[in-house]
Amino acid sequence: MRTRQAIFSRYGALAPALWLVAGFLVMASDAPAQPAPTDRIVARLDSGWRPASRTFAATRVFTANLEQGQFEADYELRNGGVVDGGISFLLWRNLGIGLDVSNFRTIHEARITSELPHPFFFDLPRTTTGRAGGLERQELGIHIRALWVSQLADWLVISVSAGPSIISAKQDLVSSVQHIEVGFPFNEIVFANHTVSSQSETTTGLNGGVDIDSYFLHRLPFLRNFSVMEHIGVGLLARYVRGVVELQVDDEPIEVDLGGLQVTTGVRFRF
Amino acid sequence: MQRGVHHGLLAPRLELLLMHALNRLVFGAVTLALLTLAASVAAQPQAPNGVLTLSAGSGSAITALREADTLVNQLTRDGSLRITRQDPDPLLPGRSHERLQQFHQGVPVYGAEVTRQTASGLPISVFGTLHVGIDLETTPALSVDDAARVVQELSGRTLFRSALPRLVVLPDRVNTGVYRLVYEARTFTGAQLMVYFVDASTGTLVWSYNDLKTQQPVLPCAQCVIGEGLGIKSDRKKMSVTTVGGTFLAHDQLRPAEVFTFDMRGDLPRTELVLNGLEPLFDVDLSTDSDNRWLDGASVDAHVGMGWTYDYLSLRFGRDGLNNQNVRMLSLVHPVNRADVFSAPPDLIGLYYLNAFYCGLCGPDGFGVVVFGEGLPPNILVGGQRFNFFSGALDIVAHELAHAVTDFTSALLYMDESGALNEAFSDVIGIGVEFYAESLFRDGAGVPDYALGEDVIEPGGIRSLSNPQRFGDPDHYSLRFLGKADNGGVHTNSLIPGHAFYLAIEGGTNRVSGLSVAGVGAANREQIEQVFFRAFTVLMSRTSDFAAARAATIQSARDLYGANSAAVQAVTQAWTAVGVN
Repeated sequence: MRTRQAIFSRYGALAPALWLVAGFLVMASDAPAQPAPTDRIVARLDSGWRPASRTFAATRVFTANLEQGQFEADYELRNGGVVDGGISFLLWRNLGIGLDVSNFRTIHEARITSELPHPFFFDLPRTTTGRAGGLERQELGIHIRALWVSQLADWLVISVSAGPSIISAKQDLVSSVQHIEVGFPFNEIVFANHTVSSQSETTTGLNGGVDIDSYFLHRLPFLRNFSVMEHIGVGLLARYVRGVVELQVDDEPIEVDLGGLQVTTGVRFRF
Repeated sequence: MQRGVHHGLLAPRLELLLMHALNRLVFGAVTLALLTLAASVAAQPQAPNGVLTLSAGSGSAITALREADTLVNQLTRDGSLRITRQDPDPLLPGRSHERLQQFHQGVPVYGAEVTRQTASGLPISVFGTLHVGIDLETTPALSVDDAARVVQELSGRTLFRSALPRLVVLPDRVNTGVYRLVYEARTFTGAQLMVYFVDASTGTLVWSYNDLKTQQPVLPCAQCVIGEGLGIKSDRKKMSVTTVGGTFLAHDQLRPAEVFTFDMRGDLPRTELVLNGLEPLFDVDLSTDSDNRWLDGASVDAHVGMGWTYDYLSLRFGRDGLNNQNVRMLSLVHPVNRADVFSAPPDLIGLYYLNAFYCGLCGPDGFGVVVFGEGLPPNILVGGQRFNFFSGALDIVAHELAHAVTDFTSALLYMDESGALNEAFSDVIGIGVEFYAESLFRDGAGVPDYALGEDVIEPGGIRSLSNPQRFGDPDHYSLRFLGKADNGGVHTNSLIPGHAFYLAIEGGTNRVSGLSVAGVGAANREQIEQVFFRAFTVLMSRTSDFAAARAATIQSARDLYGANSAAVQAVTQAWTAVGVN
């Protein structure tokens, strides 16, 4: 099992993010014809969806009928809602920096596969499956972004960003399962119940994404007279976040993948 | 023996019916046999001196089967046959089995039974023995109390409350056609479970035999928890036990039939009182352990072995325990102290040290008890063999419990050929359980084979179904024991059907006849187990002999696997090879 130290050695040094920032700087200095935005500050407020499902599994062992039994929980994360907001500053030419905060929450299930030792015989476990529902996953992420911003037209701005993330994750984990013995000859068991342990942990990760902003509202006939509309637009953000956290259930570590692809839309304010 | 009194005033209706039916049966069967040259299991209605043997199965001429069925119906309507048991077939849907007892003027005729198998009301097989022409007055001169006093004088024991004498018509064992009105009573003497037949007129002892089913001849819910025990070979076993007040007791409540293992702690006088039903057993008498890690191998193996035997009966044959109604299973371990063997009389050594036995009417509730012998100190050899705790051999545990199954089904008379069949069935079950449990043992224990008792009587065991001659037992009918010892050699002649069972599975050539058998193969052993179990529990009757066992097992194989099946071939060849035709 991967240790916390190993995970940090994999992601914690943030070396890739730094390399990415360095790359942006080089590109900015050498970019001859990329139009730079005229507004230096952009604020966002989005809501959206994390469309991709992902799973992780955890196996726990226990003692029953004088032998070691176990159950495996396959956590099936569903799509969930994301609220995302942030602000970015144009620093130099096309290069900017941003700070975003996102919150993801979903209620999902876990598929439980249990192996329970037989009461009469050694090495003849019974297996059963069940589902544990109502499990909550919440991820609060702070994403630091280095941006490459390109204003393709007065009304269209595209930015590419990448950087490190700090993710605070909360996950409901199945800590134990209960079964009902069907009775003699005890070849069958029925999954009856489960208990849940809510675990939280904070870790670091990476983020990368593309933001397409459009400031066309002031061109609409009925908004033309409102000058503030030149500063308001709409945008679409596609962001991928990746992180790994190690949660504990009764001192047993469980490695959990965080993040994923999320797509959000919302309003943009540029100044 | 006194011949039954012929009154001659009128021919009883039963006799007329039987004689009429007999004539039709014999004529019909012989005619059809000649016409069809039917082989295999032909109907064999024979009535030498008034004893009618019914042996009609699906291999017989259909007319003979119908005649036998009609006879049974007529006698049932007449009241001469009464249904004593009726069960659905546990294996074949739509089939059912009846067991009928013959009565004469309201008194049961000892050993006269018929089993009938039907499918949707149509007869499939009829086996059994009936007595024709009984002419006997059934008003006894002695009362039940008088008979009980006679038996108590004969045995020196108080009769079981549940086993007071009952009136029966006893066919003479030597002179066919001679009958006697007697009282039948049972009592456990401490070394024998004696069955007495006392003349209902004179109070004299007519016949007696020892019905104690021994392993070998006497001569030689919230409280449920799982414990870990070590058998006599230090092999790990799980035990289903009960916890009461922080102590763990050998009381299995997880199986539909409760399993009790009592530790008599070497108290033989108390053991005898318990067996006689004169003293109850309490929780404190159960084998016990303080930390649920059981180290008394005799208790562990007895308790686990009974449970596994229950599992085998249930899962292999669909039988609910010993009586098919989940009667409790009860055993006693440590009936004596090993250290006392040097001062024990020979009969006690033979029973409580060098044996195991099932006592059918014993115990506080009269539902039977298994007692496992204590064995001998490790440094003592008998015949070059060491004797360990008898409960340490799973085949012995199952063997003894199978006697209970027999008692609750065919009740094969524990004497002569029927007694040998009784023993053979127990051996078959013992072997069957051992193979069934092969994958359940741990730590190198429980290697299955066709030897009996090899795990506790070392080296070799006490009997071998694969090679009966190894222990001097007959492997062919021509070599059968014809003496009176051991109830007519029940532990000796049992190897003839036992060897047939082996050959039907494994195949091979009989040493004496030189005939070869194409067995069904070890992978199909369950077929032969099913065949024998069905034949012995639902098709055979109290006085079945080897020939009847042959017919019943072939019928059973036909029922289960079809007339042209490998099982039918194997069973038929096996019986022929051991000289039973």
